[in-house]
Amino acid sequence: MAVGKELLLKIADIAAISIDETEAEDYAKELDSVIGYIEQKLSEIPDDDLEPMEHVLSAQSFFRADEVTNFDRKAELLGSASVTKDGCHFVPSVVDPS
Amino acid sequence: MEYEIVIGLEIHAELKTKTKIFCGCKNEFGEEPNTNCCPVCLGMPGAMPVLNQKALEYAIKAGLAMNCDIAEFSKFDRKNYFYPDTPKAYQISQYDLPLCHDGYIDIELEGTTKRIGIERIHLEEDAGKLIHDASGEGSLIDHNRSGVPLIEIVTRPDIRSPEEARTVFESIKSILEYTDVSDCRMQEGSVRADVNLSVRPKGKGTFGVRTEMKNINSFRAVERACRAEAERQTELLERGLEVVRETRRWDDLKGTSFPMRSKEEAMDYRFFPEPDLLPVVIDRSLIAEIKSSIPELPFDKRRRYTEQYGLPLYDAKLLTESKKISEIFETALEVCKNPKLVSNWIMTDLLRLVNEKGKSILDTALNGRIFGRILLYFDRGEISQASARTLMEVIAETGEEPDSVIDRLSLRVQRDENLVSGVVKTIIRDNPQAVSDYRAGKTKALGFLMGRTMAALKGNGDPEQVRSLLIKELDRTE
Repeated sequence: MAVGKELLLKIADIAAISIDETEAEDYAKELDSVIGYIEQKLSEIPDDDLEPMEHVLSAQSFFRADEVTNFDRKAELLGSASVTKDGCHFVPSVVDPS
Repeated sequence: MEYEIVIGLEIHAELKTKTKIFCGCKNEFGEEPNTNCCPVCLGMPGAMPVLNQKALEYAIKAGLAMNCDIAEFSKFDRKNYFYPDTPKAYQISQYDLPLCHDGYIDIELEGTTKRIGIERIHLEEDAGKLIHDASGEGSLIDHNRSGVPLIEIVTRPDIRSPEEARTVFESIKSILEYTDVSDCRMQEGSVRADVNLSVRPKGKGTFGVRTEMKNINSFRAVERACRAEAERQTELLERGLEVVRETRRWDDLKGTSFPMRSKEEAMDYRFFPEPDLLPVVIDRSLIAEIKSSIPELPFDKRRRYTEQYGLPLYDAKLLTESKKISEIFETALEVCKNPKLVSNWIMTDLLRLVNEKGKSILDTALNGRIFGRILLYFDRGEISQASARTLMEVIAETGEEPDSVIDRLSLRVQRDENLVSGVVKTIIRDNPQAVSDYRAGKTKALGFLMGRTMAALKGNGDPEQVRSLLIKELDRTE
């Protein structure tokens, strides 16, 4: 699979990362070589006799009992945000103008 | 041309677990913002989610109640999207192997029964709450809701009218309430619906282009949104225009929907298996155990009420809408074995009290058993209708026993013939004008004298007895 500039810009857009045209070309090339390497390695592995799998790990889930273990370190958690206001994380407005 | 509406619903319901889905933070509405948060639900690097067993069980229970197959092998996936209410930049959800699939519910609308397919029910986590900041400079985020367990119930596009959409939403909410997996507090947004709707010329086999309206949180709003959107799409088609596939936001105040910003709808979720969680393998015995805990559901209850108790469908529907009301009906019926009487009193007086004093009235001493006793006394003619009403109100306030209130307020119907005819004689003696009116053929005067007598008996006379004693006395002393 080739990562073109177009796909790279689309992914950047969805992830809200600002990348300019020149950067996009460089990153596309780099990603191409990484994915190309993986693809080549994968193609070397014989997989004709492999059963399809749903998950990379073969173990199965364990569960947690429904018991409260509150973390109670609000100040510390909020402290890791770049901007806070009134005990909340504060972000640029996301209200849909209508 | 005649058009047909095709609707499918996606209903999100918060599960009433004590803690969040992947961490031990409290699952509680209305607390101070960001108090029930930890590195897991805030998506801090390195934090590892662990599935809450109760959330899994509740989801299975909802699935079984909606006749779904439960997947013995299921897994979680990452739904990637960049939005500030989701600190991880992905939501843990289920993509291609949902926990429950291929079920159905039966609904009843205008006397006919219809089966609506349930495509799937999957488990996922809720996002944080965005609060619009009055300054207009930005948005505040409260992450108490981040990681609250949700189930998403996806119906098949089997719904054909706005009324049907509302009934499906009501029925599903009712099932969630009966199975006790969700609080179903609509006003807190714990149950909300997305509406997928398209229209097509009647008789056409393929579906038209659909739109999606997100996060509608009342039954009425779902019905209105469906009606408005069907009208909008029909109008476009009639003018030879095309419906654009898009996500719209329903504004219930304005009664219309708006397209969401293109940026928000251009979602490409890039689902992939959640590497931090292992596949979920469910033991058959757990499914059987959960199945045995499912109570009689509203649709079956309704049928039983009409068949076993001979109640009209209207009554049965009203009585089964809420689990609490149906419990009160059934308990009261164990005491006062007159189904129609109990039903009437619930539909009028009890629901009136609920309207006036709030739902909390159902948690007072006025429980099903006491309510049944009051009705039993009334049915036997031991207390009057007015007294029965008084009893209900007093008991809800004070928590007293019915008999002690009856004694304290002298509410028992007075049938002692000597006593009643004594009162009747006094009334006749004190109201000569009415008496002569009656004798002159003015029957209205009898009503007046009855009223006087009942008042003298503090409303506790037996109307039949008072009436016959009055007539006897009037005819005798002529």
